[in-house]
Amino acid sequence: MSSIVVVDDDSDIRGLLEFKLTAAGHSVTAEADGEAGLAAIMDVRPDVVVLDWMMPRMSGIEVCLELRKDPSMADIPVLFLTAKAQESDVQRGFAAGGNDYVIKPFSPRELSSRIDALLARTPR
Amino acid sequence: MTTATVLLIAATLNLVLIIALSLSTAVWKARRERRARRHEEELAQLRPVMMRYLATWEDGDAHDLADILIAYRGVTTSFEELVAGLLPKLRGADRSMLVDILRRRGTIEDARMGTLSRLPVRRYRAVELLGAAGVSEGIPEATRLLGDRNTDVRLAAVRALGRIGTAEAAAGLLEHLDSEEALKHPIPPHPVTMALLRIGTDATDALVRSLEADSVEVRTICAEVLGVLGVYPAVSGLQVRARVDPSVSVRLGAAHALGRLSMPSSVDDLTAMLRTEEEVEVIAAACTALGRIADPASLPPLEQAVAHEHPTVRVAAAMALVAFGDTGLDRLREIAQQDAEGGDAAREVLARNSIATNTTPLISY
Repeated sequence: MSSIVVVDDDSDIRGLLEFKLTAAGHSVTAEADGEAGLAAIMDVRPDVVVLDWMMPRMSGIEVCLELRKDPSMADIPVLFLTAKAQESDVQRGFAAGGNDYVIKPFSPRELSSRIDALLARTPR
Repeated sequence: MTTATVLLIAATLNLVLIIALSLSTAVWKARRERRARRHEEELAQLRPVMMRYLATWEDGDAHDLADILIAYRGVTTSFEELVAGLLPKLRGADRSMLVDILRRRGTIEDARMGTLSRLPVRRYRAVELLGAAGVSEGIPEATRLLGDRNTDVRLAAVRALGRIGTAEAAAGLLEHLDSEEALKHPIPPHPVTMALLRIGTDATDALVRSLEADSVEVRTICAEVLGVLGVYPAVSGLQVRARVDPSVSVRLGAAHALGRLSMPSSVDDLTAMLRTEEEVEVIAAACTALGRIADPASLPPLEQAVAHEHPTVRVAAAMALVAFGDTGLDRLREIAQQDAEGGDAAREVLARNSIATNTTPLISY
């Protein structure tokens, strides 16, 4: 069982991912803002983080940059799940240390497959 | 009856009225709060069922959850309310599954009927739902509401057609805008453009056809959208519009589009525009388009345009030359040495270019 932290201020998406990923056999922690998300990541040390970009208190980009600064969390795969769809946004997401980028509206099935792929690529 | 008695009766009546009003307000507030609590409770029951269904429907053993959702009839809330929040966030099979539940609940059919309501708010909600669900059976209703007497309903219909997003939706939208009915109840161009962009390449045929529309606004929108969408088969139609359309905005839109499409076959038409076009904005747009194409054949006419009588054209032509790289920059440096008006434009653009590219100034003053 892998542990996943989902950080998204949209309660519908948080709820959906919690159900979907739990049904897929993962342990899920969901938070609604960047600060709480970062705290949860530091606490849980998950196998994958799903991060929204635009959130209160701390953006997903800021959370990702914080993770990459900390050597103990620098290798945790981060998947951005965001409505920011411009080419330059995608570039910024990867430049901040993101490992994958999914644009909203999104397919939960595709997201689940991408998380599986990230997990398969990450040595544990 | 004395004045004092009259005053006393009036004061008493006032007091009674105030008490009655306070009581009714308190009762109304209490009812509203009770209803809100009930609403939250119902949502708290319905939400997990829907989320669980979304998470497990693929397994094939979630039929009981589907039945619950199809039969759900809340007192203060509805499945539709919950789905309306989710649909715009999802795509793919999960989204289709939610739309399927809406269909099986009869919601889509109800919405189609709702577009005939006498109340604008109902027509608005109905067409919004058809758009959110993105169902093609809603196209005739949404198209009909483009001529609604209520502006909000008309705009919702435009959005709905954009979300439904098929060739038929694009055709319906453009044909309506080109009709006499659209003159009675106009629709602003921006939402139409956004809807067509959302439809994307499915709108290609309708857009190309509508380059010949009677309405100037429709031709302009089509020209601009074809360029943004990168519809290469539209190049010849756009070249014709750029050359002969009587409307400035259409010629401008066509020049923009030809630049975005950047086909060398447009060079002759665009350079001809530098000689024959009278509108400054259109000439400047043709210069910019030639810069995007960056075909060597357009260097001489662009150099001439740097000496145009209007500063907007001079700067646009000079900027277009920058797109040619070293060749264009060399020509600009030569022009910059001249004292004529073209020299000012060339110097300005060279200075801008050196700042943008963070290089040392290309000329010294």
